[in-house]
Amino acid sequence: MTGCRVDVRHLKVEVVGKVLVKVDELSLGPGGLHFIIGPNGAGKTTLLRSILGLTRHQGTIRICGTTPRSARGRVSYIPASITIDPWARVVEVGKAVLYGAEPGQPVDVSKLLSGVGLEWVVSLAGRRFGELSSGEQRLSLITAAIARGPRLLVADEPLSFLDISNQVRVLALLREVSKQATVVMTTHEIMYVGYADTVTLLNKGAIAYSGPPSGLDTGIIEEAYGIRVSSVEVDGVRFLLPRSAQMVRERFTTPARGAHGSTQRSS
Amino acid sequence: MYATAFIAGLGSFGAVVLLSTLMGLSATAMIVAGVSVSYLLGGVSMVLLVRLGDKIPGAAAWLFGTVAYVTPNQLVYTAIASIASLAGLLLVSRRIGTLILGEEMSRGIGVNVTTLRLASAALASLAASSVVAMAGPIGFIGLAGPWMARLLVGSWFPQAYPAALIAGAALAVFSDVTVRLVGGGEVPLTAASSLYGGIVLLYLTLRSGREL
Repeated sequence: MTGCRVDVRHLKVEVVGKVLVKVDELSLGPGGLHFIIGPNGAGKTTLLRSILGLTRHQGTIRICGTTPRSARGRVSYIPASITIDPWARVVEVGKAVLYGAEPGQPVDVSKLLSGVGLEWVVSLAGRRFGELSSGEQRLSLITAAIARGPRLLVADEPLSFLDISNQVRVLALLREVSKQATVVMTTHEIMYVGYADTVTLLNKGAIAYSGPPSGLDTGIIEEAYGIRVSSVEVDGVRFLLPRSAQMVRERFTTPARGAHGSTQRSS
Repeated sequence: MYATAFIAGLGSFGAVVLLSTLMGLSATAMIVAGVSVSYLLGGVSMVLLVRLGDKIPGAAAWLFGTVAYVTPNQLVYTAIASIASLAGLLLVSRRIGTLILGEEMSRGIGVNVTTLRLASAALASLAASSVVAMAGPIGFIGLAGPWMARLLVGSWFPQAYPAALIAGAALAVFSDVTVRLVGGGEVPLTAASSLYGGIVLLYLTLRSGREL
């Protein structure tokens, strides 16, 4: 079974007269791992929610050739802000996530998890959601979303709250899932762009770049984020790094001036 | 009187829905609307009660919550309305179960949260109105039953729901037997249900508080 193709045409999302997202054309998949990046407020979440049919918008969205509403049985969604009942146990959250899933190819979650060294996540099943750490909550939701057996997995900031080891493991996991499903995720961890099949850069609600990570020019990134960026290749994978050293040094490595300045402001 | 109480119950539910729709139909809006309507009507029933004059004792018994004056007819009506609404809730129990995920995720996997919230609240009101019309407001069972069930069998609604029905019914019967044995005469059943409900709820909450 392959992933669903996502087609966005003439999308415009407006809230009280302000245009949040305006995308003329965007096609993702079938299959593959797709990053949506961009600075805070660029419209990443709004674009994801439009793809899922959760916003009021103009234009057309097609998932697997049908509307988002009728494709929901084939879609998994992990929102950025989690509002799960803290009293619910992880296993109950898993049951809830399976609601309405269309029967497809069975997913061997344990095998997928152990493939990337995350098999311990299964042992969280009996715990209450509220007693997990933010990172454990994120990992258990990603696991539940994969267990749903989706053909499109939409994840808003799945790497947030994860340490670098778990970030890399989740990326490896999502790459594995992307062989059978289209995976669309937003992230602020732009250093990992090289792991994606395509990268879509949003800036002020519009697409500044969409294509393979190799074609992503650092100039476009610098323009969107307003910070200088370096491209580094390690083991044949491209990483983007913020060149922040100078800015940080100027602010914090001259304590006498900094401390003096702040006292003056407060007095 | 039974029919009036029943219709008034559904009427106040209508008022809650109307108010919470104006406030955006979120869970919080429904709670705020519910509390407001409840205070408003509490004032109305106080005025009505005072105007009753020498009939106050009988009305007070109903207001406290008792099954002592239930007639066979009332029991049949209540049973029909309750069974219909409880069965309706059973049909959507898996959908209600997804609400532990929060509105956004629940919608994302295909649940129409607004419709579901309205439908389940309407069904619950139907059952509650029919029982209150028969026996008056019996204290604490509506709060303690579901929580007892949740702490005993977990939060997955398709399991917690039948358990809550059993827990609530058991608590009611147990309370009624107690007031008959201990209280003598017709002491309202709420006297015992509040006591049991409170104790059981405190015990379970303290126990799981330690667990957390």
